[in-house]
Amino acid sequence: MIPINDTEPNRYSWFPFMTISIIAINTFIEIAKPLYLPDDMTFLQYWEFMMRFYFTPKLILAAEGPGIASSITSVFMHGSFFHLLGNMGALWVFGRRVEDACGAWRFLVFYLLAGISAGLITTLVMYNSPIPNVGASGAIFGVMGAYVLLYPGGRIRTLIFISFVPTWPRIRAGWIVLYFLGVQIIPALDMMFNNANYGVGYWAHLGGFFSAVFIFLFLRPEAFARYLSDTSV
Amino acid sequence: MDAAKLLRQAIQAARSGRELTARDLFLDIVHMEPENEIAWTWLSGLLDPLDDRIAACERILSINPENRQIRAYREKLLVEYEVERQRKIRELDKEVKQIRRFAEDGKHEEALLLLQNILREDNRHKEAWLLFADLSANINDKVRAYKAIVQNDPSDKSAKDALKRYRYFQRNPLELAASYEEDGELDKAIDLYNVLAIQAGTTSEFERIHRKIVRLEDAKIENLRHIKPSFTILRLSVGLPLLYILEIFIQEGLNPFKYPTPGLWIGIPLVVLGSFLLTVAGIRVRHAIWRRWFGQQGERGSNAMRALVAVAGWMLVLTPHLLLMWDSFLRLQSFQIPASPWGS
Repeated sequence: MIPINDTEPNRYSWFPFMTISIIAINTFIEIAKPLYLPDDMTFLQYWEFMMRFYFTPKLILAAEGPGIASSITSVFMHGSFFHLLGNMGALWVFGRRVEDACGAWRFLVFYLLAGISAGLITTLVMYNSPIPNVGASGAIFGVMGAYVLLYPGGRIRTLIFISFVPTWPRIRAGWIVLYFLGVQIIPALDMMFNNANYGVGYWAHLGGFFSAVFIFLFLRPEAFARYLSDTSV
Repeated sequence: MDAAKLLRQAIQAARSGRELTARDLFLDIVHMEPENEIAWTWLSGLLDPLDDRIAACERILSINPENRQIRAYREKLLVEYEVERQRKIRELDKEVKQIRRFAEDGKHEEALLLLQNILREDNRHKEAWLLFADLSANINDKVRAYKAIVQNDPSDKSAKDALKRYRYFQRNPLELAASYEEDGELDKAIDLYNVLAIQAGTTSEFERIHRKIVRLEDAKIENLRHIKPSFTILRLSVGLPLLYILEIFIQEGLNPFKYPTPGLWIGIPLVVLGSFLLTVAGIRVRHAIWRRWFGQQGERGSNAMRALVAVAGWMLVLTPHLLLMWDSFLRLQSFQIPASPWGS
């Protein structure tokens, strides 16, 4: 299940300036990462890089290392090119209209808040973990949560393969988000109770998703009035 | 006929109970001889409204300041006049209250007509003028009302401020319409925009106003809930301080008592103020700071002022963040990278 596009038009602004900027920054960082790291990089050098730019729950709790700076840089970091592709695809699909409802700068603050909240939840749950994490997915899950809150009736054009045959129906955003949320819960609980390591920040995803409630602090006045009046935001 | 003969006739008429004839004759006499004290003395008893009698007494006292009887009579009349005035005010107060209820039921036109009657009777009635200013959609009426209130009581500061503001709105009617919109008075705003659209000088101005009308009509159809501008400012001012507090919390290892950095907490009021300024500059709603700090009577701020306030807001928000990043940088300098759990 791959969300491709939100077919509904914007209501308040015509150009998703901040969504595109965030996609550009994330892409630039992913492209620039190999330039920053030496060609003959050892694992130790990569480890040092991660310690500086990814957030590590154990270090955060001990107030060691770069602290909040690593929480912020981790919001723009990805594990691989495909990780970037998946996240930025989701940001484009769900972020455009959330930005439309907030305005560009308020959307950026919400995005950072969701990303940092994702890191905070991960730190609280995996408090003893020495493993560095990236936090972009947490912010994306925050945007997805905000989309579902603001546009519960929204439909997303989604690519689905049925027996290897591609179809692209318009599916309610709620179902898509529920699917993505559902696949997080069991591994997240497994990580919490059995110290399992999946190499994926499931708690960051959940933390980011639940921080979506903060979206109401960032909505434009007209969008907020529409939300309270039970009409389409 | 000479004045002395007229005076005799007038006194005779007054004594025989023909008061109206006598009054007219005395008025003719004072017209011929404005300094005739006897004629004025008779008039002070014959004139009908109390204030005319008082005026006659004052005229006599200006001719003959030693006239003690008239002075005492004038004092008595003044007391009577005050009692009468108070009674009238109480009656009018009652009427104004009734009219207010009338207006609350949506009968604005009728309420305005009744108010105009009251104001014809007593043009010093402040409550009536205030209600008149409130109900009338016409900006000139509002100016007239506050002008009357200020004339009657020059020490009334709030009326003076309102007069200044409405004079400003007289020059900038689009801002008045926007204020109505903010107060949730969509009908009033649409009415005013319609008037302004008719008066528009250029096609682009007409189209701009027309777009506003369409937007408001859509809002009416959607039955959008009105949200107070103060609540909107409060709501939108919370996000940035929340982000900053979260950042400090993480910087202090989620335990401010164990790893305190008081210097960073000082940044909170700066971020709160900065966030507030950014909100006020970013959304076009009224706020008193535009009047108090920049003398902008419409309480909305010009584009230049908004840009200035936004720059100040960004500086207030970014400075504590930069300090936070500096703290992170210093920590990074002394950071001993721990060994990887997976070895090297």
